[in-house]
Amino acid sequence: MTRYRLPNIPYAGGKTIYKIGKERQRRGRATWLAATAITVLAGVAVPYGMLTDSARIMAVPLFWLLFGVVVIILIVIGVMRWSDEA
Amino acid sequence: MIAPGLIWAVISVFAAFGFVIAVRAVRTNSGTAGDYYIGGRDIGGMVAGLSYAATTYSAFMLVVLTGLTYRGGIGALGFELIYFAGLSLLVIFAPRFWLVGKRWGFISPAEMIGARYGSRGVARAMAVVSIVFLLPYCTTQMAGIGLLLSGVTGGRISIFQAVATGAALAMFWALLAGLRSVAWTDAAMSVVMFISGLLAVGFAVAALGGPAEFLGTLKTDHAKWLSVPGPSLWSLPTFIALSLPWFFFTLSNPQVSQRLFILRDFRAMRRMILWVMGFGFTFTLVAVIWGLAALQLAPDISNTSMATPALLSSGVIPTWVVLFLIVGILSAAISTLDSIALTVGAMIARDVVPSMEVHSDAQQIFSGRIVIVVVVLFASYFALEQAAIVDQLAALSAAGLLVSVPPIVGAFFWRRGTATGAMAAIIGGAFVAVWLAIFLKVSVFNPVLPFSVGGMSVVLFIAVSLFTKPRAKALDFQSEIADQLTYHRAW
Repeated sequence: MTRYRLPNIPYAGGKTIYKIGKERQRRGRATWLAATAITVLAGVAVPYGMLTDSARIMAVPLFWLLFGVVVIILIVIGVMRWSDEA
Repeated sequence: MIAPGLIWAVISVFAAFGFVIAVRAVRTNSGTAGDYYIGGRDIGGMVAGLSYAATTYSAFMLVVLTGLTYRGGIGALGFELIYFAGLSLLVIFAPRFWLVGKRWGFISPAEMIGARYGSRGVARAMAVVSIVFLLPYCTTQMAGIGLLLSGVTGGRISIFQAVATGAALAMFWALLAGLRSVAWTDAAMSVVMFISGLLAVGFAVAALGGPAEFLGTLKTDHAKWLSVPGPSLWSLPTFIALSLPWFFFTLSNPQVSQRLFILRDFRAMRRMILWVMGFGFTFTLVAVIWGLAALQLAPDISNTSMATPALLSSGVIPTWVVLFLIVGILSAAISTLDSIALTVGAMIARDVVPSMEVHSDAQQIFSGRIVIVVVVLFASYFALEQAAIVDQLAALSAAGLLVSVPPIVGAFFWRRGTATGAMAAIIGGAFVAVWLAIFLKVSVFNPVLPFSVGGMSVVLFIAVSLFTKPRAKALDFQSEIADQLTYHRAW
């Protein structure tokens, strides 16, 4: 495993990180982006597709409420992993 | 109808409260341009989050969105939640904006994009196009204030008086201490918006017999309003036409993206996003429920932008709640307006005026202040002239501002993007927006508008970039901040 020190990061305190960290981040970002894209597309496609003729009157409002909650969860996942150290 | 004297009294208290906050903000300003326009990059998460929320959630919510709900039903909730989902862009872009802003000292998003592509012309084009499309959005805030105060008093407060009041407050808070006074008053105003909205909806639903009765009546009498496309308005093309540009609002609107420069650190950035989310989700529900309540309590309104004034003057909401909500809506409008005015001021001072970078801080602040006055007066004038087209103006600005998205995304993710490509995307996209909306009269409810504007902008950016070369002085954001992103574990 190749190790290197962060260059030119005055607030990094000279901490050491691994290149593999970048690979993991790329994979994590791709997964998160895919999940977010699917969610946003579903936010349009499901109400206007599956639920247009639904017999349940509250189907569309409830779906969009669920959609909002899923968006919140996705964003929380994205920001809670940030390292605050400066 | 509400007595005008009562409204003036409440607005006076509101103005005095804001005055105290703004004066306190002045004392902490150091006098530099960076301090005036972005609070010295030292704003904490809660204030930044509430300020962001107050800026992004404007009078549009409780005037226009409630009207769209009244007219078309639950599709308004979906539209606003697609916009809300656009906050997910912050996960990717907030760390990047903040890191490059800190690294190179950027104050405006246009300045950042210009530096990235190594072209002051790109910064200038982005600033000018942003200003052109933001002014209609400012106008809607003023129009919202006019409709509200005139509506709830039956015209005894004239639209002119209402607009003049909003203009005076917005101008004063932006001029006094710049970002600090704007952010602090925004934060206070967001609390007023939030609590007043919740209270008003609570009383409206209670007047309808409680949540169960409210929903029951809705299902029985207005079942169509709970589905899509609903009674009218929310066909799939219309939904996409409105939602697509608003999804990118976080990036396309400089008064919002500039908030990413003001943060103290990553902790503040995370807290800001969490505050905006909590506020945004709740406030969206408040606005939509308010519109559905208006449908039952004030039926048969022909101009749906008047749904809120009609509900407020229907007599079912206690007067003190009505007054509180009026201040809440006034807050929503003013907080958006003063933020836009400040951002436009920064862009003029830093990006548009030739060689302003060599001017002193005092000169940059002075020129920004002049611009703030001009922007507010301009918005006031058009609000007085065209108050009836509130919906169209707000949505057109969102579609027009889409042109800055490809250069922003390219700045962080495509090294091959060039200054000429960015310039073509901004100018070409803006031209298409104006040509379609103004000359061909394509409605903002027609998806041809955002797809043409966004599509043209993307195609021009990519195609022209591939045929031209990046400038030697262009910055490489990707390489420069790659390690910092990894260090902070940001995607």
